[in-house]
Order: sequence, then structure tokens, then C-alpha cells
Amino acid sequence: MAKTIKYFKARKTKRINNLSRAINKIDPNLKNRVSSVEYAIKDIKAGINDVTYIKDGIATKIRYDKITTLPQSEQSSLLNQLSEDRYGLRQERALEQLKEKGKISWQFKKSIQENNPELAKSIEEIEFLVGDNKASAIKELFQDIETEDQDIGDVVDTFFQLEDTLTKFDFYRPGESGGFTKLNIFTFNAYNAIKGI
Amino acid sequence: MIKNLTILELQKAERYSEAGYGRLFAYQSLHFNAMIDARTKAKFIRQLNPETHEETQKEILYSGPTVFFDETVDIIDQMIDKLDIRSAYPSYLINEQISKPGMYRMKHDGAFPLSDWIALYIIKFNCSVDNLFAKWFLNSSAITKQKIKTDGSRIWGSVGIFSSTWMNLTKYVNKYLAPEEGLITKTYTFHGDQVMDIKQSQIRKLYEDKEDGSKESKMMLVQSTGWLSLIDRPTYYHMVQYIKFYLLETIYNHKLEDDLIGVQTDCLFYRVTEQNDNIFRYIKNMSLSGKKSSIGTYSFKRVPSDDIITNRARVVLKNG
Repeated sequence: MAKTIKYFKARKTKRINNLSRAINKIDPNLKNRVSSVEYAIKDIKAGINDVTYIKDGIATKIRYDKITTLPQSEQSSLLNQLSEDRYGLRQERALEQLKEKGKISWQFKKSIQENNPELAKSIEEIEFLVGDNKASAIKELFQDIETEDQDIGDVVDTFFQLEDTLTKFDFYRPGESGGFTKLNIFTFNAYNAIKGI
Repeated sequence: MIKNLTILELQKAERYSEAGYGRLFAYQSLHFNAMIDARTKAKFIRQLNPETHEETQKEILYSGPTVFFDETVDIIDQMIDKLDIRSAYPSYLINEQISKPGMYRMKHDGAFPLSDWIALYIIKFNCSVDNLFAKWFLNSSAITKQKIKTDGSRIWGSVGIFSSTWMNLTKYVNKYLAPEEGLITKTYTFHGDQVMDIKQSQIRKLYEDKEDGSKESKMMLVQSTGWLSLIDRPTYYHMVQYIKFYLLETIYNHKLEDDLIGVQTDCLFYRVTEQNDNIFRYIKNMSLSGKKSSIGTYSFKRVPSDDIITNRARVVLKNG
């Protein structure tokens, strides 16, 4: 029987690589400048030759090699959103690995060490929480989690509209075996999986 | 022993601040104590945000009410227009189109991208004391308290400024500060239900009574919003900064920036020129409250420059 090709996995990695390609075109000194939040950049699609996005409601398309010709304030906002999108995709990728393999590969951990140390730390925290459990047990624990296109803003907005939020929410100290220090899509889904929510 | 009173009892005792609190924030309780009620609400937010509460409630220096006078604009023998928002803070509170900060706060390192979510950006700055950023976003009291430093020619420190796509204050920060003068060190985003469920009818009733000449209602309306600062500083400063944003939009959308001579919290002063002689007619049609009522609209007065008093920091009318 032919092996099923899990197309989406390769696609996610490719998307991460394309976002990195665009990020590398922009001066890293623009990161965290006030201009990096001047425009709302949405729906970034990094393709083979160009990047498309919506800037304050206006569709924009730019070739990779022309990104540096954009005004600095736009480059700065674009860099910010590109980094955030890549961070989001990497979180999804990490969840995907837990769901499918019950562990996160060392290659992946190495790849995020420099650019997403926060995520690396979140992974460490989860590895500590699941302890010496076998990969098959962890895989089972994470089998029902959502790994696609989640926005942490939407997720927590819904969660914190629950009436009994306070009694249910102990994210920063779940159970007796420690907790998470950073709330993001990765840790929040892991928290829900561990708590059985 | 702490006594719980009704709104009417507080009014009778001329405790308008607490009575106003009851009208706006504790209308579901017949008997209440404003201080205890406010602290209970604050405690709930603290429990929900163990990682961010200390910073957002105590440590961060927020950009506060706008108060400045620009002495570089020549006003001698000129006419001055004064535009004053009627009940600015209550207008913000009753406008449902304006989102208020949610109860749960998430901390992000560096600059979180601008979006529809309310975000509080902590901006580290270093600029000239004459920069408009200093006038619009920094408070002289913060300098006095040593939270912001200055050597007389430069000013530096960190300040918390809210921004979102529909209240883009960083657009103005970016207009005033050069790229190397400002850095976003961290961001807090706000999620979930807003801190207070403000009942519009209560505010409108107070406002209408005030318009009909009720002194009590005026006192309650004016003094009640200060309680928000005790319950939740982010919510209070979002309200304050929204007014700042509204004033900035009024000025830049009507090209008044070159003639602006000063701002006093919810009030603008600009010199009259041939170009802006009739602008006030358009501005008077705007409303911060989004309601069909005079609440949130600008009141207008044109006076000769001799009728205003200015000093280094502020500008006011001689007759109030």
C-alpha cells in the first residue's frame, strides 16, 4: 500500500523558510523601532518570487529583491509581522511534532535557538512537565489538539470570556509539577492537553 | 466599622465621588462601599494576571492627560479658538464602538505587531526637550518624580502608550521621534471581557441632569471616572490616551498643527488664520460619544489672545 504523503508538513516548513527569506532581506536594526507598529500588516503570503500582504487594508505585492526599496516605516512593520508569523508557524510546527511523534526533534530545537529563544524555553518547560513519559503516551495526550491557523489573541479572548475563568485558569502554575512562563499558542494548547480541557 | 450606603445616602452626605462611583460602576448593588468594591474588582484582575499585574498596575509610567503650551507659535494680537470636549471621559465610556482593555493581559518581548487588539507599547525614548513627543506624551509630574530624566536639552526614559488599528497613537509617536530616538522594549496585549460593564443609561442620565443645571450630577460625573485608576490603571489610561488620540486626530485631520498653541486635557487652543477660520463648524459636528446628544461634542469659544493665560506648561482662559 502506498504511503500517504503528508503534504501540509512540507508546506509548513517551506512557509517558514520563505518567511525567513523575506526577513533576511530587511535591516534587522529596524526591529522594535516605533515605526514597526505604524502599519497593520496582515495576510502575508511569501511565495517563490514575491511577498504579498495587506497594509492598512491595501493589498501590496513586492519582489524579494525589492523589499529594501520600501519606505523604512513599512519595512519595519513588515519585518515585525513576518517575525510574528514565523514565530506562530514554528509554534504550530512544534505542536504538530508532539501530535505526530510525541517528541520534538533536536534539529527543530536547534533551528529556533537563535531566533525564537522564547519558544525554545516553552519547549523545555513542556518537556519538563511530561517528564519521562514515553513518546507514545505523549502522542496520545496531544492527539486532539489543533495545530493549524490559530491566533493566540482569538484563543485567549474566547477563553477569558468564560464566566468561571478564574477558577479554571492556573496556567502559570498547572498541577504541582511547575508551570509555564510564557503564554502562546504552543503552551496554551499544551496546557489544555495536559489539563484535559 | 465600614458602612455600606446607597447612592442617595451618599448624595445627601455630599459624597459625590462615591455616589458617582455607584451610578457608574456599582449600580447592581443597592448598598455598597466604593473603596471596598473597587479593591475587590482590582483583586480579581490581579489574580487573573499574576505575571503582569505588578508592572501594569504599579511600575509602568503611562502617558497621561495632555497639558502643554507651545510658546513658539506667535499669538500676539490674534484671535484664539478654544474647543472643549463636553464630558470627554464619560463620552469615551458610553461609546460602544470603542473597545476597552480586556481583563487578561499578555506580555510580549519587543514590539507586537499593530492589530485590532488593544496593545500597550513600552517605548524607550531619548529626544530633545522641545520635541513634540515630549509635549504630547510626557507629563511634567513624571519628570518631577524622576521617572523620566532630563539634562535640560535632552529627555529620556520609558513610557507606556496604547495603540491599535483604530487608535493608532504610535503613528504620531513615529511622526515626532526619529527612528533612533524610540525603541519598543515590550508590549502587553489585552483580552477577554472588559474590566467594567458600563451602563450607558446611567451616564446619560447624569449628563442630562448636568445639562439641566444639576450641580450634584456634574460633581458625580466629573469625580467618578477617577475610580477607574484604582480599579485598573490600564483601563483608566486607555481612556485618557483615547482622548489624546481624539485630539490629535482632530488637529491633523483638519490641518491645524501649525496653529496649535496648546492643549489642556480635553481642550484645544489654536490661533485663527484665514485658512482655518471656519474649521470649527466642521469640528462641532464630531462626537466622541457616538450618540445623538451633545455629550462628547466640542463646545466652541473664540477669544482675543489677551483673554488667555499662558505659562511654560499650560494655557487656560482668564475667566475659566
